[in-house]
Amino acid sequence: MSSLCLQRLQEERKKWRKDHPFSFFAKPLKKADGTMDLQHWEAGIPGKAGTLWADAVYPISIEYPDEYPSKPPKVKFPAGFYHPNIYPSGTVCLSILNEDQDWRPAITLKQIVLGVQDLLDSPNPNSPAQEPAWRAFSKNKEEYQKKVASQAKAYAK
Amino acid sequence: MANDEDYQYSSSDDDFPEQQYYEPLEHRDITNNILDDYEYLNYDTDSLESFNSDVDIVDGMAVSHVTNPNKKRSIEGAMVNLKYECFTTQDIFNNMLEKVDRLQPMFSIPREDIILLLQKYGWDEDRLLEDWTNKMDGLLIEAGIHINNEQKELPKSQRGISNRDFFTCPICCEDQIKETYSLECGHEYCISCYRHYIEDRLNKGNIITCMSCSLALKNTDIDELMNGPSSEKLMHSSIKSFVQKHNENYRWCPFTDCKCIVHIQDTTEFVEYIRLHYSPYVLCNESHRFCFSCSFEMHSPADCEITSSWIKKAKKESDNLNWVLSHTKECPKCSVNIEKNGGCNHMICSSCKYEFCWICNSDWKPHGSSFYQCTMYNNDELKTQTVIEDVSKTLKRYTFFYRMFNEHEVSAKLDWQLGQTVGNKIKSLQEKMGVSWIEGQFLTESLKILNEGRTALKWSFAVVFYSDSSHNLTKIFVDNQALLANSVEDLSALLQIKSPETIMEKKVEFYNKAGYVENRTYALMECGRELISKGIVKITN
Repeated sequence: MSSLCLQRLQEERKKWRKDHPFSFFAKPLKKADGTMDLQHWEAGIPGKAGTLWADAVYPISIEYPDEYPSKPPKVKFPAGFYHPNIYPSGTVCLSILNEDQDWRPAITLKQIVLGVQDLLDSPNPNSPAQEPAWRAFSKNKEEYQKKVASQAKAYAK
Repeated sequence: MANDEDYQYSSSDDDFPEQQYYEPLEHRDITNNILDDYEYLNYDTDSLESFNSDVDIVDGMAVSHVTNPNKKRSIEGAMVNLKYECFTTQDIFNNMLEKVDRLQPMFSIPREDIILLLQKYGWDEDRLLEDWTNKMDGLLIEAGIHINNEQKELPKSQRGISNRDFFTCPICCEDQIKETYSLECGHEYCISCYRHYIEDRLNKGNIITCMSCSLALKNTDIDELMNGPSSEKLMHSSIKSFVQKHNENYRWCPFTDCKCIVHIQDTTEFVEYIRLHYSPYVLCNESHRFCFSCSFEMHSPADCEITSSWIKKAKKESDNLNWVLSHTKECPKCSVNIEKNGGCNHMICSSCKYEFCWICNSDWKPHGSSFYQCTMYNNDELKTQTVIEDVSKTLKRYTFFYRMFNEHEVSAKLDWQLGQTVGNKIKSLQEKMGVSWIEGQFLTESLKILNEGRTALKWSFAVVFYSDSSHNLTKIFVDNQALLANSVEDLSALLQIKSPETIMEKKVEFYNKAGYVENRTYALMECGRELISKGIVKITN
């Protein structure tokens, strides 16, 4: 791990501990020897109140590459997560997480998790990443809502 | 074996006098002038196009140089009138700067800003102009030239480097930063983070923006930050992505380290090429000839389809075979391992002095005087085999043809090394014997012909592999192949001569043999084309 990456991640952690949005959580994983692995984080994204996604916390993993902050981290939901912009593998398709699109080295962890939270209830039908959720979202709203609600139940707080 | 490395032997093609594509006769004229003193014949085309391996012709050729300008054209592998231009990235860059100059009076914004706009539009002038008239202000924000006032959070600052005491950079989190950089948006970061960031993005060819928002760094900003002409690198990668995006009309020269780009305005003519089973060969400014439609080296008599499936097959089946076949062989008599380090197939075992043919592993004696048959695959046994054995036969058959293909590829590489010494030979000819430059050119010319002959020979094995071996025309093709192989070996052996005196003495022989190889190459290509046109070649994988 480059020193730039490490230093920045330590700072990200410090900032997060000092201040983070309500009911979110994020922490680095532990390595086998018990030390902190700053390049691998787990985090929870609460669904926004008043939406289909409310009353649940959705788990994500955040993986920082060695080239961070030059390159964006990879954010993943559990595989098979139901959402039009999430690949079957769970990888999130979001422009701020794409190096060739809107990723900027200045984007912080807070901005990332808030961005992912935003994505939950406002999917982008123009860049579908999985078929079932996308098809239901654009053709059969009823089925979509049912599926999302049952998923919310599975991840209920 | 399709990788770029394999082209290296050809990458110094520029040793040859440059040929003008539109005047294919130019270098031939030089040869003719020298030939004035010698008698040479023009065989009528019929006798050559009948593809008969007429021994009389063979004998006749041995004493007379045959030249037919029309044929040269076809050896260069193309029908006439393929119009194309060859650029370097620098040329394209200059074209783009011209575009900028054209747009500047209309847009009346700085040139740097127009470059950004053009980059955003993939250098598509027309689309940019259209959008410019429709939504000028929106465009300037979108391209990151102007700040989007609605999103402004920070006080406006100056574009450029500033000196600070104890600044903490939000990217690397270092404190005590002295030098920082920011654009008008006010997002300020340390200069080393900016440098890292720019370095990383120069190869992508996209607009580089502020590390926090979408305000763009202009080329002048990049150069200021990087202390050098780094924006040039960005422009070049921008051009690269431009060429890749327009791959219908633009092609990179596939030869290693060649920076040429060939541009064909109108690719509709290709239909005609494909109908007649010609391949659209183009010649870049560095004299590398390649096929525009498949970006492969010259592959006649095979067409693009045969070429690509042959390559695919070779990749699939012979990763190992490839290596085993290409490097060593055992002497058929004493089993000593032999590495071939010269272009000719006439081998003399250094241990037991046995003379044999590198290709067929049999005694050289029958090869020397008359033409030989070792390029033919004996197919007779195949007929009585059961289905299971058939599979192994197919593989064996493939292995045989692949071996042939590979032998000639290796030989071509060795010929190329030979080519490096040809230059020295010419030099010593000039020094020792007072030969003028132009008179020494027959050596380079012969080498070039040898190389073309080898390439044609190489690809002809791919054609035979896919051909119906029972058809008469295939047999004729194989005969032609044997004739070319024979003539190529002759010429290759001739080029091994080291003493300048002998070379000058054998000048006529050089002409004769080279001319003969040239004719045989042409005959093989034409025969191959007929084979393909008549549907005798079936691609099966």
